[in-house]
Amino acid sequence: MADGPSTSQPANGNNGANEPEPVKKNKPKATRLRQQKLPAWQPILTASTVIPAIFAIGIIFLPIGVALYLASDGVYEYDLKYADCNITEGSKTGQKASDVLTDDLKNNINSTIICGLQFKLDKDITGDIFFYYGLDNFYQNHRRYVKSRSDAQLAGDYKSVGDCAPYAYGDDNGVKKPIVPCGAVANSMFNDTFTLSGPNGPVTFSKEGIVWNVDKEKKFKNPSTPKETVLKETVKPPNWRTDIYGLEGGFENVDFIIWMRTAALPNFRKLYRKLNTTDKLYNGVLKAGTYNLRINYNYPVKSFNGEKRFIISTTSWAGAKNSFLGIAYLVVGVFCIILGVVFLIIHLKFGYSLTELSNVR
Amino acid sequence: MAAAAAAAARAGTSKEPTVELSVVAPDKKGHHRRTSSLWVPPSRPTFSNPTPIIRQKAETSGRALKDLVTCRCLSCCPFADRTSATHPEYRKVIPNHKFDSGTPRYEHPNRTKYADNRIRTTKYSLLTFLPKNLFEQFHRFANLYFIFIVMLNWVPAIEAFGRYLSMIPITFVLMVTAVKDAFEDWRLLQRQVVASLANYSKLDSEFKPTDFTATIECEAPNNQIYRFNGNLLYEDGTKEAVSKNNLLLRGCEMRNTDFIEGIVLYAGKDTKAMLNNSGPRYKRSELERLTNWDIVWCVVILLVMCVTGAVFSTIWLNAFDDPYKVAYLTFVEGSSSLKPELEGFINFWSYIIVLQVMIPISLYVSIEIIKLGQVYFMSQDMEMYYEPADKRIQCRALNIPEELGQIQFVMSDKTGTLTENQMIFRRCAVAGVDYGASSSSSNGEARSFPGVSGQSSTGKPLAQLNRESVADVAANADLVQRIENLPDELFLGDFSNGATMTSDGGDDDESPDEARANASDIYHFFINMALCNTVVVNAQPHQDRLDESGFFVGDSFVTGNSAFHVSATDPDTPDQVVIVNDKAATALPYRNSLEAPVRPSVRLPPINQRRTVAALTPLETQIEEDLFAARSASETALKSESGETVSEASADASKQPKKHKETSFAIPEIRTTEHSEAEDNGEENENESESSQPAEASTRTNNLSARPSMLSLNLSKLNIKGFKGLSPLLRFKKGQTSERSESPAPPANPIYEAESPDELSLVYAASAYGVRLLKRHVNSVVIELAGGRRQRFELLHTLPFDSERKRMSVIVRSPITNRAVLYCKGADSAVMDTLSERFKNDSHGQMVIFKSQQYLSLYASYGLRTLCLAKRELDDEEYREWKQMHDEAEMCLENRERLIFESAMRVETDLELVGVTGIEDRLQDGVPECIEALRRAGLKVWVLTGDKIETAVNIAYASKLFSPGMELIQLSAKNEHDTSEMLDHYVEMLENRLGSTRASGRRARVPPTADEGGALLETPANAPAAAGGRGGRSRIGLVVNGQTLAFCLLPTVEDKFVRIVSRCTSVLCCRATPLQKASVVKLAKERLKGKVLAIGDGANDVSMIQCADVGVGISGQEGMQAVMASDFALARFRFLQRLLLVHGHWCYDRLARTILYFFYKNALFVFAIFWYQLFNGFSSQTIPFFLSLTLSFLAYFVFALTYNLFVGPEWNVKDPPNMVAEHALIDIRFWAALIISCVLALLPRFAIQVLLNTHQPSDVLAERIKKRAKTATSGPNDGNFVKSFRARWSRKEKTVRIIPDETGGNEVQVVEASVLHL
Repeated sequence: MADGPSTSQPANGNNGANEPEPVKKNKPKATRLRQQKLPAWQPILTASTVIPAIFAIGIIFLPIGVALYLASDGVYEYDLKYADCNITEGSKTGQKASDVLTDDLKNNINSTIICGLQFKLDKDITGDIFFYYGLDNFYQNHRRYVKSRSDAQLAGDYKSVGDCAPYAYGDDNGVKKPIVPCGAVANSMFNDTFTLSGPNGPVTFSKEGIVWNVDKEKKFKNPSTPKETVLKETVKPPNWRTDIYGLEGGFENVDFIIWMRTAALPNFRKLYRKLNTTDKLYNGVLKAGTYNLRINYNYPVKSFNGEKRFIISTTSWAGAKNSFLGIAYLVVGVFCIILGVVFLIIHLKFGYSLTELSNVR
Repeated sequence: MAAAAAAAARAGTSKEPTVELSVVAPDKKGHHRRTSSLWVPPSRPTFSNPTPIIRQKAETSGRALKDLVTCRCLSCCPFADRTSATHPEYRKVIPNHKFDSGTPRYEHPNRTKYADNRIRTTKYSLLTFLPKNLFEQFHRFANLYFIFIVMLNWVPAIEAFGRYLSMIPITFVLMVTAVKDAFEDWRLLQRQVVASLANYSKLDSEFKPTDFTATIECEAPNNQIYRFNGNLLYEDGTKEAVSKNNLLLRGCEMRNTDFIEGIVLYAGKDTKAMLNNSGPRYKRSELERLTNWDIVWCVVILLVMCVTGAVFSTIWLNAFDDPYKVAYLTFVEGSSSLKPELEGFINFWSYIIVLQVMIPISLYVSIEIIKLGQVYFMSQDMEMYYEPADKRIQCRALNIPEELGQIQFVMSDKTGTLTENQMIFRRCAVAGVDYGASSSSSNGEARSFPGVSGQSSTGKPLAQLNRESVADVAANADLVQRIENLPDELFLGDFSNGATMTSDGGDDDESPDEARANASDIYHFFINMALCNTVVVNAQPHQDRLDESGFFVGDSFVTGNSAFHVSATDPDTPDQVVIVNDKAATALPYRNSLEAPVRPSVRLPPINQRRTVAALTPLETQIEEDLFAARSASETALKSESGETVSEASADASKQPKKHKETSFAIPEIRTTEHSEAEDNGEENENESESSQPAEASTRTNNLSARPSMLSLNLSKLNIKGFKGLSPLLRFKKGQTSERSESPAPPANPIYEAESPDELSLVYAASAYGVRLLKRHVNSVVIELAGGRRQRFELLHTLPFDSERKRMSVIVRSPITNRAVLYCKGADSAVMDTLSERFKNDSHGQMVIFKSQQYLSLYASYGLRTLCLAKRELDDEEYREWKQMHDEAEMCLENRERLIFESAMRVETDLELVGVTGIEDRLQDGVPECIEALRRAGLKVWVLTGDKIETAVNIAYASKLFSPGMELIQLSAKNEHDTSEMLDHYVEMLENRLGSTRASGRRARVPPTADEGGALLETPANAPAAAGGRGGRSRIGLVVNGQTLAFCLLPTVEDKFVRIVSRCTSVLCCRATPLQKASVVKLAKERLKGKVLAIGDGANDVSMIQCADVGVGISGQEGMQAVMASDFALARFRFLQRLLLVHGHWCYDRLARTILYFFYKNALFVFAIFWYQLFNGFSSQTIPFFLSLTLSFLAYFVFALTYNLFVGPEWNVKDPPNMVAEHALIDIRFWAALIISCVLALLPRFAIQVLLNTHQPSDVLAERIKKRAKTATSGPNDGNFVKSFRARWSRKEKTVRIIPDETGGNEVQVVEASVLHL
């Protein structure tokens, strides 16, 4: 009864033995691929078959999550908000820096506002030590903002302004000249600067290895034209205090490169410096004690209710301090275990009646 | 003496005309003659005996045509035809020679107005490919959408992706499609090359028959293959009709014809074949329709998201007190000020770009490619390959493979679909006396029951089957003897109707009543069998007389075949009209494009080839002389009986010749047997044909190895196989040679070729009983009777078979009585109603009718196909009267077919029943298993057949359409009212039954109504009490006959019928016409809301196949029509099981998953982007590193793997361009993120599926779970571990054996597993 469709191959032989076998040009080849006989596994997902797999996933994920979380937890991070800092130097000492600084970047070209902040590290920080600045509520990911740049110009073609509008051309005594570097991203470059001194004296920063190779070597290039010609033919961005050559390295300036790599979220941090490990004063270790952070407060964030931060952080094998991945693994692992338990209950409670059910049908 | 602007097409089985010719039969006296004798009646195309022998050079047919034919367009319409009335276009064809030869080419009306014979099926050329293909692609909505998006991206304010980046996907899609189109076009080109350069007819360009001056008016080119109307206009203003039977369509094959004369009417793209060739069939599957709705929903979701985003971006921008001071807002006071509402509007379009993936455009391309793959795998399936015929499944529709998995109704034809269509004559009853197959049957295997024999035929090679089945007539020794002893009066001429034959050769146990009319009836019975058909008789397989360059090879064309059996000295044949069986004209014209024609290898001996050139001129004159002699002889003969219609046999126009590749099987066999005969033959031919060259005989002998047709069988084999010593044939043969020493011999070993297997089986059966059809001409048939006595019947009319009359007749002039006799054969219902009153009242007649009815039902209950043979003797007066009307009907231009039909009905009355026959048609192997499997899988199988109820029911049981446990409802009623009441009754009954749940075993018996045709509910006695399957509902089968079906389909009754039908598992419709079949399919589609598959093999199934959601053609005996109309073509019915339950399931499952996956994937992607808008001020920003994200997933593994493979330590690639590859590969976080995103993405679906499967498993799943539970629980109960383990192991083995490929996980296995369980 149960012979499948496979049994009905017509036999040939016996009777037609005398006739020459005609060429069977339409005969398909009996390869496993063509006959769709390659090994395959099509599980049916029911509680009884899935429970082991679910538990297995849970059991694998939980330790990974724990490991990731611990790694992230082991990262030392000191986060210093300073947008509301008070001025500590000059004539306006004691006033709030954000109040003194005008809202508009371009209007505070000549202002020098210095904030000095003191903070204390409870313990020695070892390992690779990174210094970040952070901005909150800054939508560096806004579509129009992100687009407003010219990669060609950054790579050396200084006359190209690409999609830089509305910061493509500037007015130089009635003559329209391309802005270098053009675009909203460059125009809004972060320009606070930091100096740090601690118990052993001033902390020396290093710029080595804080930008991606590809940025330094391919994407950002000074024009081959002499500096003077470039400056003559172009204007600086309206918000900038200096022209591009005023930055150390010009187009290849580290801070500029880092700023130009836009952040994905409105609250972001960008690498500022690394601790110079060859520095004899600290020997790659930030000792516990009191530190002084001197901030050149130039960047206004009041107009968009922003916040500014200075962050000292180490890394682990799992990167900087970021507990999200670890937590995600933990959650999924726990969820799987719970799901497994639910399935187990389902299986125990309904598994038997299922066969009954199918009988009734 | 040229008849028409003659195009002599080189004819041979492998030669096909590339133009459509109107074939004109020449008038013997000239073309001015207008009586009906001019035309061989329109039942078949006729070909003249080619008086002027046309030699032709091989040259391009296009050029040849230009020289031959002129077409001219007129502006008024001479036709009253209703179609041409609405399309008042027609063309007038004037022979080229009527024009001034100096007419410049460009002024020639033909060249300017109508197509030449160049045909291009390809769409593109190298130059036009790119623009044309792009233009075609831009017609698709999906592509337009894509391009719209790309264009949006070019608006600077809206731009979301890089401009060039966004062009990548559409470019890819266009490229893939273009490559696919190019490939398809290239394949077409290949086919075209094969079709039109290699294989065209050779047409004469030099020949200009200046005396043919008539013109032909015909329809403008149209695609209706079965319709053609036109007129032949003579110069004197008279006209004559030409019809479809005079038309030779492009692509059809001619047999047994050396050449024809005709005029080209349509050429090139105007041919009906080309007009019908509308390219691959396009059907939309249900899944596609669903997908389209899903896409509509996607559009809605997309729009909602875009509007939401746009609104929120406006709100967000409005929230800034002083936006010009905000560093990250790119608005400059004055020059580019901020207008939040405008910004929102721009963002809306930008969102459309960003979220475009929501509409899975690439889905279309993906699905198309997947379907191509599925179709490819289907065609590669070994289990759907039929080795004996070397045929695999043909997928003609490329875009509905998944529909196969959704079929709920299977509508099947019976003959040729469920059965082999190999007819074997089994039994007959002459004048009420049954003559069954004798026990001394040659192969000793009594196969009367189809159910049994269907099994036994499994495994035999087809060639074997062919030979056995057709010629394997188990002759009844008793009957053979009777025929041998037929009284001499029958042959001497003073036999008259009703004469009592007393002596019947010493058969003692015969009652006197039977003996009285026995001899006469037996005589008429067999004469009827031998006469009443369209079988063509050949002495030898047809052989092409023209060589490759169009020269006649060897001798004259008098080859000994009846078609050319014209000799000036043959007194038997006063005519010279070449009979060619009408296959040529009725054959569908596509064959060429589908299968490479079988090319027979005719090996000409070298001597012959040399002689061909040398003997050219003398040969021609020789033939001319021959023909002239023949013509003058026939002309005189004709004059004497002027007004006589030259009629000839015709056949069911819808049938098509059998010419398949199977032929190749038969060749070697025939060749060997014939070789012994050949010598004999050759000598005879030499004698009779008066060919002066003695060498020719040997030439011909050597040429005998030409290709025989599939149905043709040399009679000699009949002798060898089964009748040596038993049959009288051998004796005849000896007698013949001595008798016919001086008269031209008809072929000694005729080869019969017929269109329908039924006809062939009858002729062979008659032969086996010693009544041999020897020759068939247009107007005469020679029959040889026992003892070598020959009778020549003048063939007066042939009334071809049609499905309405369900019978065919010939009218002949009996050589004995010299009176016209009508022989009729047909279905019992068609013949019994037309019997004469006198016969019915006569005691002998009553007995014959009564007994014949009994035998009819007996035969039918054996599953045999029954036919009734009847005769009628016409008075001269009667005949003359009828003939006059018939001639008028034939000459009528309008409504001709209807009139001829009525005329046939008029003469087919007052018949006398002679006898009945039972022909077996074996079930194909694997049919019962297949139907059973389909039924178990929940499909409803309906069989729609033209057979009578008893036969059909029997086959239905044999094929397991009906199982013994099934209750049968038989619907038969005489009128609408009865039908309605009967249906009411059954509806009530069935619904009551359903109400009283599961009262299985209780058999509702309904007393038959007083009306004898009333309802009858049968329950076979051996029905098991619990016939219930799942749910305990008893299975119900329905039997409807055609008449009742017609009432059931009336709008008033239909509802009730639907209610009944919906409760039946199997339905059997008997006596159904093609149209009814189609309407049943429609009913199931529309009223029962089911997916319907129709499967059939013949032309009568075409409408049903086209009507169904999926049409399947069986490429069997009945030609190509069904296959042409179908979506899938199978070689055997049993492959349907694999096609539906395995491939259909796979295709549907896989495609459904793919589509779901697409939506799922896209939704994930799109929603990720959408939620990201919360973090970027609703600025329609995409996820950062978008490029890396997409590209990395695409190219990631490829790059990474190859990178790792090939980049050794000596390669110092510090910073490759692909940042992702560099950083991600070595970064553990990348992997961690990858894994968790996969798990997170899949987890919801996974969990839902588990819950669903656990809570509400599908039936299939439930079965499987149950099975697993059983195997799991049964083991440990034993207590003994080893024992239980062994038990489990063995059980497992059993399962594995029953389910062959566990890996596939298809439904069949599950079904069969459940079989095991039950």
